[in-house]
Amino acid sequence: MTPPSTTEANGGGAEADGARWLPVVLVGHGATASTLLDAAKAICSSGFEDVYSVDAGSGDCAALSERLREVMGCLGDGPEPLIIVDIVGSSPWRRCVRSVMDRRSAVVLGGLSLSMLLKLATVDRRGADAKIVADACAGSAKRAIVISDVRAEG
Amino acid sequence: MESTTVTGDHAIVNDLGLHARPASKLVALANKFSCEVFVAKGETEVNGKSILGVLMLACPKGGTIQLRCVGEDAQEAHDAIAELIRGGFGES
Repeated sequence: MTPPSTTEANGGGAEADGARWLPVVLVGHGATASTLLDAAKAICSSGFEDVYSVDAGSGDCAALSERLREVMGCLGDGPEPLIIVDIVGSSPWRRCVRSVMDRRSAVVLGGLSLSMLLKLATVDRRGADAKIVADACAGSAKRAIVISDVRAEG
Repeated sequence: MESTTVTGDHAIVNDLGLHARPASKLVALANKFSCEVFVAKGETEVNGKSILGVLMLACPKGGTIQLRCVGEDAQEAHDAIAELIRGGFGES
């Protein structure tokens, strides 16, 4: 079983003007959360303040719950976070929901993708509402789904 | 104040075309200006401040995009973005 791991994209928290960045937690099977975050940072070099990734490994392990509690604990008494999970209904998703319910409310969005993270990098999350940012990310991901009929030339 | 509109056609010169990193650079630059920025390829026009929007144009090397900037600093925005495109987004 692959153990879960956690990375923080950048130091975040309070801004000079008092508006805090909306914290975002990415959770995915295997190492998808950290890998997608690395890929997004390779494309957009900024915009990932207060974004955390939690790699769930194979998903169903007590260590994941503990890691999620640690991350949620790091968020302190700040704004309601946005949690983006790869698959709704999966064991990481269930453990996320349970970890959230232990201590606070959060907005949980399913379907973690690179398109979502590119949107995340370009929306102003300072003082932003989690639901509004979730809507923006979801819309971006939906628009990115395109079927192209590519044919050989000649 | 009257709104200024500046438009121009620009050829994509870098080998890989308007892929993710160039799109990110274009959008980051566009977001430094207060004017609205639109990028079009053919009949499709997208918000030049949205990476996904710009990427959806899928413009290859040799393709032409139309830049339309609307607002107070439209001329500055257009010139800066045009320079970025001409320079191949810093790529070969």
